[in-house]
Amino acid sequence: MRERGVDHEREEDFADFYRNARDGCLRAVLAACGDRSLAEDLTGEAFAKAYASWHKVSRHPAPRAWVVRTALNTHVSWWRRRRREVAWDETLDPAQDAVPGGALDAQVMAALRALPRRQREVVALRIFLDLDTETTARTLGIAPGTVTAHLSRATFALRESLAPNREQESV
Amino acid sequence: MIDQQDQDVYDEVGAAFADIRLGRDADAVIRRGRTLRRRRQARPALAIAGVLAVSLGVATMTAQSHSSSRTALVNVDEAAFSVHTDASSGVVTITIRELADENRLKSVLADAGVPAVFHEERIPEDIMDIRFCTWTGASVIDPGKVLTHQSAGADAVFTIVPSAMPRGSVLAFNFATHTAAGHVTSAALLSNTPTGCVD
Repeated sequence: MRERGVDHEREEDFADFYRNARDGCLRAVLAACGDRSLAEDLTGEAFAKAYASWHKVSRHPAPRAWVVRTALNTHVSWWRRRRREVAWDETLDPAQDAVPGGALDAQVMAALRALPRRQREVVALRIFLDLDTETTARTLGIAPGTVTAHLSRATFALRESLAPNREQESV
Repeated sequence: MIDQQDQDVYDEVGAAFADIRLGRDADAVIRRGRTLRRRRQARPALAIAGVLAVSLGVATMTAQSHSSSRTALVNVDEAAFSVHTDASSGVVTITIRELADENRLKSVLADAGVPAVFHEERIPEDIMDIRFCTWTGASVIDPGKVLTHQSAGADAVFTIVPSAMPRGSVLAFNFATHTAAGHVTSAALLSNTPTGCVD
Protein backbone atom coordinates (compact mmCIF):
# COMPACT_ATOMS: atom_id res chain seq x y z
CA MET A 1 0.00 0.00 0.00
CA ARG A 2 2.84 2.31 0.86
CA GLU A 3 4.44 1.62 -2.51
CA ARG A 4 1.23 2.47 -4.32
CA GLY A 5 1.12 5.80 -2.47
CA VAL A 6 4.70 6.58 -3.47
CA ASP A 7 3.95 5.68 -7.10
CA HIS A 8 0.86 7.89 -7.10
CA GLU A 9 2.83 10.80 -5.69
CA ARG A 10 5.56 10.27 -8.26
CA GLU A 11 3.00 10.22 -11.07
CA GLU A 12 1.33 13.40 -9.86
CA ASP A 13 4.68 15.12 -9.57
CA PHE A 14 5.68 14.05 -13.07
CA ALA A 15 2.27 14.95 -14.54
CA ASP A 16 2.59 18.49 -13.16
CA PHE A 17 6.02 18.85 -14.68
CA TYR A 18 4.80 17.42 -17.99
CA ARG A 19 1.82 19.76 -18.25
CA ASN A 20 3.99 22.82 -17.54
CA ALA A 21 6.96 21.86 -19.70
CA ARG A 22 5.57 19.97 -22.69
CA ASP A 23 4.81 22.89 -25.03
CA GLY A 24 8.12 24.67 -24.48
CA CYS A 25 10.07 21.45 -24.94
CA LEU A 26 8.14 20.58 -28.11
CA ARG A 27 8.80 24.03 -29.56
CA ALA A 28 12.52 23.77 -28.80
CA VAL A 29 12.74 20.31 -30.37
CA LEU A 30 10.69 21.44 -33.39
CA ALA A 31 12.91 24.48 -33.88
CA ALA A 32 15.96 22.21 -33.76
CA CYS A 33 14.74 19.34 -35.94
CA GLY A 34 12.31 21.16 -38.25
CA ASP A 35 9.67 18.45 -38.54
CA ARG A 36 6.43 18.70 -36.55
CA SER A 37 5.46 15.05 -36.33
CA LEU A 38 9.05 13.93 -35.68
CA ALA A 39 9.34 16.60 -32.97
CA GLU A 40 6.16 15.31 -31.30
CA ASP A 41 7.46 11.72 -31.33
CA LEU A 42 10.89 12.73 -30.03
CA THR A 43 9.47 14.94 -27.30
CA GLY A 44 6.89 12.35 -26.22
CA GLU A 45 9.59 9.67 -26.05
CA ALA A 46 11.92 11.98 -24.12
CA PHE A 47 9.21 12.71 -21.54
CA ALA A 48 8.57 8.96 -21.23
CA LYS A 49 12.28 8.46 -20.57
CA ALA A 50 12.08 11.27 -18.02
CA TYR A 51 9.26 9.42 -16.26
CA ALA A 52 11.25 6.17 -16.35
CA SER A 53 14.13 7.99 -14.61
CA TRP A 54 12.01 10.49 -12.67
CA HIS A 55 13.89 9.85 -9.44
CA LYS A 56 16.98 11.28 -11.14
CA VAL A 57 15.40 13.79 -13.55
CA SER A 58 13.25 15.44 -10.87
CA ARG A 59 16.46 16.43 -9.07
CA HIS A 60 18.16 17.67 -12.22
CA PRO A 61 18.95 21.40 -12.11
CA ALA A 62 17.21 21.92 -15.47
CA PRO A 63 14.76 19.07 -16.13
CA ARG A 64 13.29 20.76 -19.25
CA ALA A 65 16.78 20.94 -20.72
CA TRP A 66 17.22 17.24 -19.86
CA VAL A 67 14.08 16.43 -21.86
CA VAL A 68 15.15 18.50 -24.88
CA ARG A 69 18.67 17.09 -24.84
CA THR A 70 17.27 13.55 -24.62
CA ALA A 71 14.92 14.26 -27.53
CA LEU A 72 17.77 15.63 -29.64
CA ASN A 73 20.01 12.67 -28.75
CA THR A 74 17.19 10.31 -29.71
CA HIS A 75 16.92 12.18 -32.98
CA VAL A 76 20.58 11.55 -33.72
CA SER A 77 20.19 7.89 -32.73
CA TRP A 78 17.13 7.38 -34.94
CA TRP A 79 18.85 9.15 -37.78
CA ARG A 80 21.96 6.99 -37.44
CA ARG A 81 19.79 3.88 -37.44
CA ARG A 82 18.05 5.05 -40.58
CA ARG A 83 21.40 5.96 -42.10
CA ARG A 84 22.52 2.33 -41.78
CA GLU A 85 19.51 1.17 -43.71
CA VAL A 86 19.31 3.64 -46.55
CA ALA A 87 21.79 5.28 -48.86
CA TRP A 88 23.32 8.21 -47.06
CA ASP A 89 24.16 11.54 -48.59
CA GLU A 90 26.66 13.40 -46.42
CA THR A 91 25.10 16.71 -47.35
CA LEU A 92 21.68 15.62 -46.21
CA ASP A 93 20.47 17.11 -42.97
CA PRO A 94 17.19 15.80 -41.56
CA ALA A 95 15.89 19.33 -41.13
CA GLN A 96 16.43 20.17 -44.77
CA ASP A 97 13.95 17.68 -46.19
CA ALA A 98 11.44 18.00 -43.37
CA VAL A 99 8.01 19.41 -43.86
CA PRO A 100 7.05 21.91 -41.21
CA GLY A 101 3.66 21.28 -39.71
CA GLY A 102 0.82 23.36 -38.41
CA ALA A 103 0.47 27.04 -39.10
CA LEU A 104 4.11 27.90 -38.60
CA ASP A 105 5.40 31.03 -40.21
CA ALA A 106 7.15 29.76 -43.33
CA GLN A 107 9.75 32.49 -43.27
CA VAL A 108 10.68 31.85 -39.66
CA MET A 109 10.98 28.12 -40.32
CA ALA A 110 13.06 28.77 -43.43
CA ALA A 111 15.33 31.06 -41.42
CA LEU A 112 15.78 28.41 -38.73
CA ARG A 113 16.37 25.64 -41.23
CA ALA A 114 19.07 27.70 -42.93
CA LEU A 115 21.11 27.62 -39.70
CA PRO A 116 23.65 24.86 -39.04
CA ARG A 117 22.32 22.20 -36.64
CA ARG A 118 24.27 23.32 -33.57
CA GLN A 119 23.24 26.96 -34.03
CA ARG A 120 19.60 25.85 -34.30
CA GLU A 121 19.91 23.90 -31.05
CA VAL A 122 21.53 26.79 -29.19
CA VAL A 123 18.95 29.32 -30.35
CA ALA A 124 16.08 26.88 -29.61
CA LEU A 125 17.27 26.42 -26.02
CA ARG A 126 17.69 30.18 -25.61
CA ILE A 127 14.29 31.13 -27.01
CA PHE A 128 12.01 28.35 -25.80
CA LEU A 129 13.60 27.29 -22.52
CA ASP A 130 15.25 30.62 -21.68
CA LEU A 131 18.45 28.84 -20.71
CA ASP A 132 21.51 30.83 -19.82
CA THR A 133 24.86 30.24 -21.49
CA GLU A 134 26.21 27.92 -18.78
CA THR A 135 23.16 25.67 -18.74
CA THR A 136 23.00 25.58 -22.53
CA ALA A 137 26.66 24.58 -22.61
CA ARG A 138 26.10 21.75 -20.11
CA THR A 139 22.97 20.62 -21.94
CA LEU A 140 24.69 20.37 -25.31
CA GLY A 141 28.05 19.24 -23.96
CA ILE A 142 29.97 22.14 -25.45
CA ALA A 143 32.02 25.02 -24.05
CA PRO A 144 30.25 28.20 -22.88
CA GLY A 145 32.35 30.22 -25.34
CA THR A 146 31.11 28.01 -28.16
CA VAL A 147 27.52 28.63 -27.07
CA THR A 148 28.11 32.38 -27.14
CA ALA A 149 29.66 32.18 -30.61
CA HIS A 150 26.84 29.97 -31.98
CA LEU A 151 24.16 32.19 -30.47
CA SER A 152 25.75 35.33 -31.84
CA ARG A 153 26.03 33.90 -35.37
CA ALA A 154 22.53 32.43 -35.24
CA THR A 155 21.00 35.67 -34.00
CA PHE A 156 22.75 37.66 -36.71
CA ALA A 157 21.61 35.22 -39.41
CA LEU A 158 18.03 35.20 -38.12
CA ARG A 159 17.94 38.99 -37.99
CA GLU A 160 19.13 39.16 -41.59
CA SER A 161 16.65 36.51 -42.75
CA LEU A 162 13.69 38.02 -40.95
CA ALA A 163 14.43 41.66 -41.81
CA PRO A 164 12.04 41.69 -44.79
CA ASN A 165 9.28 40.53 -42.39
CA ARG A 166 9.77 43.50 -40.14
CA GLU A 167 10.09 45.96 -43.01
CA GLN A 168 6.82 44.67 -44.42
CA GLU A 169 5.09 45.01 -41.04
CA SER A 170 6.28 48.58 -40.60
CA VAL A 171 4.84 49.73 -43.99
CA MET B 1 22.63 41.59 -21.06
CA ILE B 2 20.64 40.96 -24.19
CA ASP B 3 20.54 43.56 -26.90
CA GLN B 4 17.00 44.77 -27.60
CA GLN B 5 17.39 43.98 -31.30
CA ASP B 6 18.38 40.42 -30.42
CA GLN B 7 15.42 40.13 -28.07
CA ASP B 8 13.12 41.31 -30.87
CA VAL B 9 14.41 38.49 -33.07
CA TYR B 10 13.85 35.94 -30.29
CA ASP B 11 10.34 37.28 -29.70
CA GLU B 12 9.52 37.05 -33.37
CA VAL B 13 10.72 33.43 -33.59
CA GLY B 14 8.97 32.56 -30.33
CA ALA B 15 5.71 34.10 -31.51
CA ALA B 16 5.78 31.94 -34.65
CA PHE B 17 5.63 28.84 -32.41
CA ALA B 18 2.90 30.14 -30.08
CA ASP B 19 0.27 27.75 -31.45
CA ILE B 20 2.51 24.67 -31.25
CA ARG B 21 1.28 22.44 -28.45
CA LEU B 22 1.95 18.85 -27.49
CA GLY B 23 -1.44 17.17 -27.43
CA ARG B 24 -0.49 13.87 -25.76
CA ASP B 25 -1.93 13.47 -22.29
CA ALA B 26 0.23 12.70 -19.31
CA ASP B 27 -1.27 9.21 -18.85
CA ALA B 28 -0.05 8.06 -22.28
CA VAL B 29 3.45 9.34 -21.57
CA ILE B 30 3.49 7.69 -18.14
CA ARG B 31 2.37 4.36 -19.65
CA ARG B 32 5.22 4.51 -22.13
CA GLY B 33 7.60 5.52 -19.31
CA ARG B 34 6.57 2.46 -17.29
CA THR B 35 7.38 0.22 -20.25
CA LEU B 36 10.80 1.83 -20.65
CA ARG B 37 11.49 1.41 -16.95
CA ARG B 38 10.56 -2.30 -17.01
CA ARG B 39 12.72 -2.77 -20.09
CA ARG B 40 15.68 -1.13 -18.40
CA GLN B 41 15.25 -3.26 -15.30
CA ALA B 42 15.13 -6.43 -17.40
CA ARG B 43 18.27 -5.68 -19.39
CA PRO B 44 20.99 -6.66 -16.90
CA ALA B 45 19.59 -10.19 -16.53
CA LEU B 46 19.22 -10.54 -20.28
CA ALA B 47 22.71 -9.23 -20.95
CA ILE B 48 24.19 -11.69 -18.46
CA ALA B 49 22.33 -14.52 -20.11
CA GLY B 50 23.59 -13.45 -23.53
CA VAL B 51 27.20 -13.25 -22.43
CA LEU B 52 26.97 -16.58 -20.61
CA ALA B 53 25.79 -18.32 -23.71
CA VAL B 54 28.92 -17.22 -25.52
CA SER B 55 31.42 -17.65 -22.72
CA LEU B 56 30.15 -20.85 -21.10
CA GLY B 57 31.80 -22.97 -23.72
CA VAL B 58 32.76 -26.22 -22.02
CA ALA B 59 35.88 -27.61 -23.56
CA THR B 60 34.67 -31.13 -24.11
CA MET B 61 36.25 -31.59 -27.48
CA THR B 62 39.59 -30.87 -28.99
CA ALA B 63 39.15 -28.13 -31.50
CA GLN B 64 40.67 -29.30 -34.73
CA SER B 65 40.73 -26.61 -37.34
CA HIS B 66 39.60 -27.24 -40.82
CA SER B 67 39.81 -25.03 -43.82
CA SER B 68 36.61 -24.63 -45.67
CA SER B 69 36.96 -25.06 -49.39
CA ARG B 70 33.56 -23.53 -50.10
CA THR B 71 34.07 -20.25 -48.21
CA ALA B 72 33.24 -17.16 -50.22
CA LEU B 73 33.70 -13.49 -49.51
CA VAL B 74 30.30 -12.29 -48.43
CA ASN B 75 29.18 -8.68 -48.07
CA VAL B 76 25.47 -8.57 -47.41
CA ASP B 77 23.56 -5.75 -45.74
CA GLU B 78 19.88 -6.26 -45.11
CA ALA B 79 17.49 -4.51 -42.74
CA ALA B 80 17.46 -7.52 -40.39
CA PHE B 81 21.14 -8.45 -40.53
CA SER B 82 24.57 -7.81 -42.04
CA VAL B 83 27.26 -10.37 -42.88
CA HIS B 84 30.70 -9.26 -43.98
CA THR B 85 33.87 -11.23 -44.68
CA ASP B 86 37.16 -9.46 -44.15
CA ALA B 87 39.05 -10.20 -47.35
CA SER B 88 42.49 -10.27 -45.73
CA SER B 89 41.77 -12.20 -42.53
CA GLY B 90 38.75 -14.26 -43.58
CA VAL B 91 36.98 -13.19 -40.38
CA VAL B 92 33.21 -12.99 -40.76
CA THR B 93 31.31 -10.30 -38.87
CA ILE B 94 27.62 -10.91 -38.30
CA THR B 95 25.28 -8.18 -37.06
CA ILE B 96 21.79 -9.35 -36.18
CA ARG B 97 19.06 -6.77 -35.69
CA GLU B 98 16.11 -9.13 -35.92
CA LEU B 99 15.49 -12.67 -37.06
CA ALA B 100 13.07 -11.86 -39.84
CA ASP B 101 14.07 -14.63 -42.26
CA GLU B 102 16.01 -17.45 -40.65
CA ASN B 103 16.53 -19.35 -43.90
CA ARG B 104 17.92 -16.30 -45.68
CA LEU B 105 20.44 -15.65 -42.89
CA LYS B 106 21.35 -19.33 -42.79
CA SER B 107 21.99 -19.32 -46.53
CA VAL B 108 24.16 -16.19 -46.41
CA LEU B 109 26.17 -17.62 -43.51
CA ALA B 110 26.65 -20.90 -45.39
CA ASP B 111 28.05 -18.90 -48.31
CA ALA B 112 30.48 -17.29 -45.85
CA GLY B 113 31.59 -20.74 -44.66
CA VAL B 114 29.66 -20.65 -41.39
CA PRO B 115 27.21 -23.53 -40.93
CA ALA B 116 24.54 -22.32 -38.51
CA VAL B 117 21.35 -23.33 -36.76
CA PHE B 118 18.78 -21.08 -35.10
CA HIS B 119 16.34 -21.26 -32.27
CA GLU B 120 13.80 -18.55 -31.63
CA GLU B 121 11.63 -18.08 -28.59
CA ARG B 122 9.36 -15.47 -27.09
CA ILE B 123 9.81 -14.72 -23.40
CA PRO B 124 6.90 -13.37 -21.37
CA GLU B 125 7.29 -9.90 -19.93
CA ASP B 126 7.01 -11.07 -16.32
CA ILE B 127 10.06 -13.34 -16.62
CA MET B 128 13.17 -11.36 -15.81
CA ASP B 129 15.69 -14.11 -15.16
CA ILE B 130 16.22 -15.34 -18.70
CA ARG B 131 17.78 -18.74 -19.35
CA PHE B 132 18.30 -19.81 -22.91
CA CYS B 133 17.28 -23.30 -23.95
CA THR B 134 19.83 -26.14 -23.97
CA TRP B 135 20.91 -27.58 -27.27
CA THR B 136 20.46 -31.36 -27.50
CA GLY B 137 22.26 -33.97 -29.61
CA ALA B 138 25.48 -31.95 -29.70
CA SER B 139 28.21 -30.81 -27.32
CA VAL B 140 29.16 -27.23 -26.64
CA ILE B 141 32.76 -26.57 -27.68
CA ASP B 142 35.06 -23.97 -26.18
CA PRO B 143 34.64 -21.17 -28.72
CA GLY B 144 38.29 -20.15 -28.30
CA LYS B 145 39.18 -17.86 -31.15
CA VAL B 146 36.34 -19.11 -33.34
CA LEU B 147 33.63 -16.94 -31.87
CA THR B 148 33.59 -13.59 -30.12
CA HIS B 149 30.70 -11.40 -29.18
CA GLN B 150 30.48 -7.68 -28.86
CA SER B 151 27.73 -5.26 -28.03
CA ALA B 152 26.72 -2.49 -30.43
CA GLY B 153 23.70 -0.76 -28.95
CA ALA B 154 20.62 -2.88 -29.57
CA ASP B 155 22.37 -4.99 -32.21
CA ALA B 156 24.08 -8.33 -31.61
CA VAL B 157 27.49 -8.47 -33.28
CA PHE B 158 29.50 -11.68 -33.57
CA THR B 159 32.84 -12.29 -35.20
CA ILE B 160 33.57 -15.76 -36.53
CA VAL B 161 36.74 -17.34 -37.87
CA PRO B 162 35.34 -20.00 -40.22
CA SER B 163 38.73 -21.57 -40.88
CA ALA B 164 39.13 -22.25 -37.14
CA MET B 165 35.82 -24.09 -36.80
CA PRO B 166 36.34 -27.79 -36.05
CA ARG B 167 35.16 -30.13 -38.78
CA GLY B 168 31.42 -30.80 -38.57
CA SER B 169 30.84 -28.03 -36.01
CA VAL B 170 28.06 -25.49 -36.31
CA LEU B 171 27.25 -22.14 -34.80
CA ALA B 172 24.02 -22.21 -32.84
CA PHE B 173 22.18 -18.91 -32.50
CA ASN B 174 19.52 -18.45 -29.90
CA PHE B 175 17.22 -15.55 -30.60
CA ALA B 176 14.99 -14.49 -27.74
CA THR B 177 12.36 -11.79 -27.94
CA HIS B 178 11.38 -10.36 -24.58
CA THR B 179 8.19 -8.36 -24.68
CA ALA B 180 9.72 -5.63 -22.52
CA ALA B 181 13.42 -5.80 -23.26
CA GLY B 182 13.36 -6.46 -27.00
CA HIS B 183 15.71 -8.85 -28.78
CA VAL B 184 18.58 -10.76 -27.21
CA THR B 185 20.78 -13.01 -29.32
CA SER B 186 23.33 -15.52 -28.09
CA ALA B 187 25.62 -17.84 -30.00
CA ALA B 188 27.45 -21.05 -29.11
CA LEU B 189 29.82 -23.33 -30.98
CA LEU B 190 28.47 -26.90 -31.16
CA SER B 191 30.26 -30.13 -32.12
CA ASN B 192 27.67 -30.97 -34.74
CA THR B 193 24.15 -30.10 -35.84
CA PRO B 194 21.92 -30.38 -32.76
CA THR B 195 18.67 -32.30 -32.68
CA GLY B 196 16.82 -29.55 -30.82
CA CYS B 197 16.86 -27.01 -28.03
CA VAL B 198 14.93 -27.64 -24.83
CA ASP B 199 14.16 -25.57 -21.73
